[in-house]
Amino acid sequence: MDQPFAETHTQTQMDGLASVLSGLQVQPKGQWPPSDMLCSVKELLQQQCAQLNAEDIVKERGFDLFEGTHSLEINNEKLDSHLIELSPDEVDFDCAVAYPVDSAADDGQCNWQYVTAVLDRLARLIVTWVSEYQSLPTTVLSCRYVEHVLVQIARGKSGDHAYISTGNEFHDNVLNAGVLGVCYFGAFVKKLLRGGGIFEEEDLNFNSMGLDGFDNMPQRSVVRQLLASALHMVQSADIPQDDNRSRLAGLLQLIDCLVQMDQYLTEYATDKQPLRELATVATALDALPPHNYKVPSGSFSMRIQKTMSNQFPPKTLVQPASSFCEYTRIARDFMKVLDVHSAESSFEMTQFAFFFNKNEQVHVLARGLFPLVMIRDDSTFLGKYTFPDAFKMHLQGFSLAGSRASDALDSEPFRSLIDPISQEALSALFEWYQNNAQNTARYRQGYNRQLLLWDSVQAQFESLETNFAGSEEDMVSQNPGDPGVPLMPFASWAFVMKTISMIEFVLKGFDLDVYKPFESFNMFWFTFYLTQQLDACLVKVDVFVQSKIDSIHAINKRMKKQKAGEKKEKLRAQYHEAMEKQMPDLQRNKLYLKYLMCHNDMTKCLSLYEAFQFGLLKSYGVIDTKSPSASKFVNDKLIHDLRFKPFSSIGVPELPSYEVFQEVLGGFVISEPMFKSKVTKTEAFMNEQLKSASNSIDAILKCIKAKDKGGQMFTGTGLIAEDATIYYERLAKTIDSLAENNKSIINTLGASANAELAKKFHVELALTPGLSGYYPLMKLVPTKPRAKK
Amino acid sequence: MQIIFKQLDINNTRYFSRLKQLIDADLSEPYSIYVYRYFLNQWPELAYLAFDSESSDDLPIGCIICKSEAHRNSRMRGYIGMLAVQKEYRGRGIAKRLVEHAIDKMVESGCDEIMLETEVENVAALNLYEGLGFIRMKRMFRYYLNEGDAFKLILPITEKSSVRSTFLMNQNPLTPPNNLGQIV
Repeated sequence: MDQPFAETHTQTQMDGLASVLSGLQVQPKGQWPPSDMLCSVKELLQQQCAQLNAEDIVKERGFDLFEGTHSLEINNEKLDSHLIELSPDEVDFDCAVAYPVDSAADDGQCNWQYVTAVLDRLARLIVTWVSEYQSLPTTVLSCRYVEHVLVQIARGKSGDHAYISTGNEFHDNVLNAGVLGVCYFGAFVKKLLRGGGIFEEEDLNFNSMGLDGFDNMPQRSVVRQLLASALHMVQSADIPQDDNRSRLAGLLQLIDCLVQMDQYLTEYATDKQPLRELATVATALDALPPHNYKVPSGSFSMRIQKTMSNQFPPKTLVQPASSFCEYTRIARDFMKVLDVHSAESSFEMTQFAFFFNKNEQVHVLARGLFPLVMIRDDSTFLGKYTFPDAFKMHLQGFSLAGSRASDALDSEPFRSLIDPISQEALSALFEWYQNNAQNTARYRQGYNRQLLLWDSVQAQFESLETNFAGSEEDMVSQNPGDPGVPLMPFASWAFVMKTISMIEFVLKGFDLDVYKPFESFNMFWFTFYLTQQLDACLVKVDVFVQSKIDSIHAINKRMKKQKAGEKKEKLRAQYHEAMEKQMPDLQRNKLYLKYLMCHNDMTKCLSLYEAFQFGLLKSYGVIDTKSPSASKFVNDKLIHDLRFKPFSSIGVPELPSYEVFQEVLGGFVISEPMFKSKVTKTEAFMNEQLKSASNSIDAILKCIKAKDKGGQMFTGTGLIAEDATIYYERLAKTIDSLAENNKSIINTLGASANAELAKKFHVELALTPGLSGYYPLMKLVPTKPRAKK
Repeated sequence: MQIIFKQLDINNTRYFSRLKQLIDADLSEPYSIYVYRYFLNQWPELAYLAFDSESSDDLPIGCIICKSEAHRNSRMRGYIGMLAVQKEYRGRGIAKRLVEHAIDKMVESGCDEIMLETEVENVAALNLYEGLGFIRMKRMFRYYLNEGDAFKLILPITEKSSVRSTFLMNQNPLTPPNNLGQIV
C-alpha cells in the first residue's frame, strides 16, 4: 500500500498527519521489528488529531463512504462483537472433554443425559433458525460442538469421522453422530439457498461465520451410518429403559430424517417415507414428558460471534423452540412440493405453481426446493421436458393447438425468427414459476418485474406474427359478419400471462396492506378493466378453438356425404388424423379456457362489486379518491400516477389516464333525487355481481371435487386440489362477508347522504383471517375525536 | 414552550453526539459512526435539529437526517434516513415539522421524489408520512434486524416520479423539475 491511510477529507489541516502516516512502513506479516526498535506515535497522533475539525474524515483514497455504512464499529457495544462478555465456562469450554467433568459438581447428570440435553437443544434451535427466522450464529452455530465439528471437517479430518473425541462413548459416538447430522442438514440448507429460489437474510439467515466445513461434508451414507450406530448404541446401552432413552433415540431418528432431506435436492428423490417419519418422530418427541437435563455450562454461547469471522452486529442467543411440531409442518410442506413430480401437463405444472404457496406461506425450505425441482440444472422441467418442449407445451395448452403456427413451428424461416423471442419468453416463464414460491411480499414485487418481461415478449411475438404469412389463416370472428382478427397464438399467450400478472400485482397489494382506502376504487376499477381485456382475449382463443373443433367435425360430415372412393378415403384419413392429433388438445384447451374464463369472471364480478362499494360510500360522502391529507405536499394526480407507475409503460392493456379514472368514478356515485331508490338499485346490482362470482366459484369447486372428470371444465388442479379448494372456499366466504358488510353500511348510513356523515364515519380496509386478502371489506368506522396534548 | 428548528452545524460536536443519542435510543437498527458520517458529511444541509427554547442545555430534542442523490441515473431522489424526537416531546407535531423542513429543502434542491422505509408496525410513523402525502409503494419481508416487515413510502414531487427508471435512463436527473412551483 503506497499510502496506508492517506486521503484527508479537508486537505489543509491534514497534510501534517498524512505526512506522518505515509512515512510509516507496513511490515510484512511475521517480520514485525522487535519492540526496542519501535517508538510510540500516540502523542504525535493526538497532536495532529487536535487540529481536525469535527467534519473532517481521515480515510483511504479508495474508501467509499457508502460502503462504510455497512461497516461495524469498534467500541460500539451494539456493533462490536469483540465487546461480547463471556463467562469463564464459555471461555474454557472444551469439546475434547466429556461431561460431567466432575460428577459431584455437575448436578449429578450422567454423560448420556448431557448428550441428550445438547441434541435436544440443537434440534429445537434448528426450528428457531429455519422457521422463526433467527440467525445461524444465535441458534445452531451457538453450539460449541457444532463449531468444533465444522472446524475439524474444514481441516480435512476424515478417516473414522471421530470429530468429537473425549474417550466417553456417548460423547464420541452419539453426540458426534448427532452433531455431524445437524451440520449435514446445515449444508443442505446452504445448497438450497445457493439455488437462488429464496433470499438470504430475508427468508433465511446463513451467516456461517467463515466456517468452510459446510462445503466439505462426508457422504450422506457415512453420516447415516454413524447415526445408525449411535442409535443402536443408545438402544442397547445400560441406561434406564424410560422416556429419556426414547427421547435420545428419537432425537437421533429425527436428525437422520433431516440428513435424508438432501436427497430431494441432489437426487430429486420422490420417496416421502423420511418425511412421514420426520413428522411421526417429531410428534412422538412432543408427546414425551418434559425433561430437566442441562447442557454443559458454556456449550451454547455467543463465543463464535466474538472469535470467528463476523461481519454482523452481535446478537444475543435466542430461546430454543418449545415444541417439535414445526418439523411436522416442514415435512408436510416438503411432501406437498414433491407432488409436483407427478405433473404430466403444462396445466398441472402451472396450476400447482399457482396454488401451492397461495393460501399461506409455505415453509421457507419447501419454497427454496420448489423452483429447483421444477426448473433443473439439466435444462429440463421436472427432469421430463426439455426447455423448448416445456415452452411448446405451455403454448400448446392454451392457444397454439390446431393453429397454423403450430404446424409452422418446426419449419424455416418461422423457427429461426421465433427462437430468440421464445428464449426471452422462456426466461419470463422461469421467473413466473420461481415467483410463485417467493415470500408473500416478494411475490408482488416479482410480478412488478414480470410485467415488463411479458410486455416485451408480447410485443415481439405480435410483431413477428403480424408479419408471418400464415397467421391470416387463423382468423377469429367473434360475431358473424365481423372482420376476423388474427389469433396470434404466441402473442395471445404472452398477453394472457401479462394481464394475469397485472391483476395479481394489483390485488396482492390489498393483501399486503399497501393501499389506503382512498386508493381502493382506482385499484378495483383498474382490475375490472383488466379482466375485461383478459376476457376478450380468452374469448378470442375460445372462438378459435371451437372453430377448429367444428371444422374437424365438418370433415366427418363431408366424408359421410361422399360416395365411396378415393375422395372419401382421403377425407377419412384427414378426419382420423385430426381426431387423433388435434382433437384431444383442442377439447382439453376448450375446457381449460372455460376454467380460465370462469376464474376471470369471478375476479371481474368481485372487483366490480368493490368498485361499487366504494362508489356507494362516496355517495354518502364518507370516502373519496383524493388523499384525505391536507398537506401542501399532496398532489392527487402525482400520487395517482405514481401508484400506477408499474403499468405506465405497458402497451396493451393501455393504462387509462388520471382523467379517465376520475370520469369513470362519476358513474359509480349516486345522488339526489331519489337517493334511497338508487341505493336499493345499486345494492341489487352489487348482489348480482356477488351471485355471479359465487356461481363461478361453485362451478370451479365442483370440478375440483370431481377431479375434472365431469366434463364441465378442466381446472388442472389434480395435484394441488386441497390448496385450490381452500383458495376458492375462502373466496366464497369472502363473498358472504362482503354482502353482510354492505347491508351493515346501508343500515348505518340510512336513506340519504348528508354532510354530518363524513364527520361521523370514515372507511377502513379490513383484512380478516380466513377470508381472501384480495378483496378486503370496506368497513365503516366511527371517527373518534383526536385527543389533544 | 417554543420549538426552534435549525440546520445542523456539522462542526458542533455536542449536537452531533446528542443527535446520535436521540437516534440510538429508539431506532431498531444499530447505526455505526460511518452511517452518520455518510449522511451528515455529504448532506449537512439536509439535517435539521429541533430545540426547546426553554431548555437550559441548548441540546436538540429532535432531529431528521436525509440525503438527496440521483436514483438509477434517472431522477433525483430525496431520502429520509432517520427521524427521532425525544420521548417527552412527542405528540406535539415536532416530527411533522422536522419532516416538512427537510422536504422543503429537498424540493428546493430539485428532488423528483422523497423516499423512506418504515416498519409496518410503526403506526405513528405511517400516519405522519401518509398525512404528508407519502404512499406505500411496496412491502418488504423481514426488512429490519428486529425481523419486522417494512413499507417503502414515496412522496411524488414531479412527474418523473411516476415514470419507470428504465424509461428515464440517461436523462440528466439534475434537470430542473417542471412542476416545482405547483408543489411549493
